Amino acid sequence: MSLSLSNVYVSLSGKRILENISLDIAAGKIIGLIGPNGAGKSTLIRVLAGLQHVDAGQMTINNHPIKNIPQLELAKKITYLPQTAQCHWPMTVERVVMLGRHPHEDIHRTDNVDMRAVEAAIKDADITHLIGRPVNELSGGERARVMLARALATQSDILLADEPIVSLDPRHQIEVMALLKLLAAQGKTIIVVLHELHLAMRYCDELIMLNDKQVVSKGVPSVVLTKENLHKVYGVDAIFGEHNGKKWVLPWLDNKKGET
Amino acid sequence: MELSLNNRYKDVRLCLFLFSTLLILCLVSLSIGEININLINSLKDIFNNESSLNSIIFKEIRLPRTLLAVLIGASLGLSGAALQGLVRNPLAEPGLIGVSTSAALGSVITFYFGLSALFPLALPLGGITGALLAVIFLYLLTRHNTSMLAIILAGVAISSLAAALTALALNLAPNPYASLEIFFWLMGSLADRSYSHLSLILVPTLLGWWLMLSTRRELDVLALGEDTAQSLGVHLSTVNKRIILGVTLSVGSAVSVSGGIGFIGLVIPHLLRRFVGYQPGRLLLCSALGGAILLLTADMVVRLLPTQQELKIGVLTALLGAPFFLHLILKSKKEWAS
Repeated sequence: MSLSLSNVYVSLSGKRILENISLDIAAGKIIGLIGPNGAGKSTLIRVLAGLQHVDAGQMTINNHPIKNIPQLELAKKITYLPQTAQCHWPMTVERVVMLGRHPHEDIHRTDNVDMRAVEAAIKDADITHLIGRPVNELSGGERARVMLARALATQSDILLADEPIVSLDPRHQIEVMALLKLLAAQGKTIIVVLHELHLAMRYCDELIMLNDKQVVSKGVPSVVLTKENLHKVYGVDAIFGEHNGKKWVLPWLDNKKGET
Repeated sequence: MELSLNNRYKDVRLCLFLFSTLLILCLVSLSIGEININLINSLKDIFNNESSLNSIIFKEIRLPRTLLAVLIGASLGLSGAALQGLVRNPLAEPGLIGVSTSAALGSVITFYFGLSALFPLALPLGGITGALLAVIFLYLLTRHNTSMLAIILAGVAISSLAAALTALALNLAPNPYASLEIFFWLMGSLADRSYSHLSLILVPTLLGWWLMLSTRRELDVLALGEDTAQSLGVHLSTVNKRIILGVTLSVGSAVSVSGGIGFIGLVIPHLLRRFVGYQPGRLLLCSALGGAILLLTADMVVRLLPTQQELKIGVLTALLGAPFFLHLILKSKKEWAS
């Protein structure tokens, strides 16, 4: 399922957040959305989720304008995982994951398809050991994986995730990115906001670099994550290397205060 | 993988248990009071069209009072659960969005201008009008901002205004008797109510229940926040409107015949939440049953307490509810603080 934005402008309380954004996102790819704090990444992902009112411009899914798609139909096609997703009641892990099935049917009557989807999502997010526990008692990283499982349980074609790995330990960061890559290989479209540039370089098929309301660079990671771009956008130097034929990048800044 | 996700039998069992408890309490409520009556004998008298003392007490006094307790208690319990699900906060109560206070104001105005003395039904009509005005105000104030914080703040403003106007009415009342009448009415009671009260509130109450219960699936998803719920296909403004209108209709009409009865919508959802896996949607129906049980029990207590003047039911629920509210706030500080 392909997504496209044309000439999108967004303002929040009178302040321009996104300016003239045009994107074409093909199916079966994992796209990283990167850029410094306040660049407009979260707003852009909300636009893609159909949650953000735009001042101008249009978004289409498979060439259908998004505003013509009924909300419940859209919910089956697009899953949105917000930054610091939470559950306001101390529900158990599996009940929270089950909520991801809401677009498909009556969540009070669970059938086998729902059960299988929930089980698969729980396994994929590696939270089997957390079953039965109230979500509010989990650590930040565990809760983030429960919310990922909730998003996976919907089994939509498009997954939009806003910093899904930010609170995870290194092993789970890598595992979640590998899982997203696998889902993309199965034909899903994955768009993920990331600050972990090494993982963006390793796992994303394409990157979209946002800075100051605009897309400043897009394409395969080696084209976007250049020394010049990182310096211009993040104000950092970059150290590049290679391991087992895979390139990696490490952001670096010399002469930082407090460093010995 | 052992997942306990099928809730249907659990919910049916819980509701059946609550329903049978309510049924038994209804029978007890019909039999006891200053005069204990034999239900079977009075039923026989009613069917044989014989007007015995028992049958009159049963039919004209106890039955409407019991039915009103059930109806109003259910409205208060259900409204509390629905509001708490909507604003995702266990401390939310019908009073919170200003409906109860405005309904009280509406009824007080009918006292003040003597309308209720001219024709008794002015009182309930005033209450419903007050609640309706509060909701229209609320809607206008929050039309361009659907965030729950905006709705709550608007509700607080409306409550304060209604409370101030009620105080003004008490302050300027033409004679001390009018003040006293208003004052007693505000305390909340189910005594001396009749079928005319019942018939007036039945339709808005049932309509309100239906509106609230129709949002039960969406309320569960709303536990994940407004953005996520919307992305899962929940139509936020529809849910907002249904619950707010449902609360208005049922609580507005309830307050107009019973006066101020607080805390039922706070206590009952809190006690039952653990039995429905903390899911706000599943909480709705059992909170209605629980609210009816609590108000009916409270009404029997005030009837049986050997006080010189019957204790007002609103006073009793406030005496029990306020410490409970305090306990919840202290507990929430630890549990819900983010």
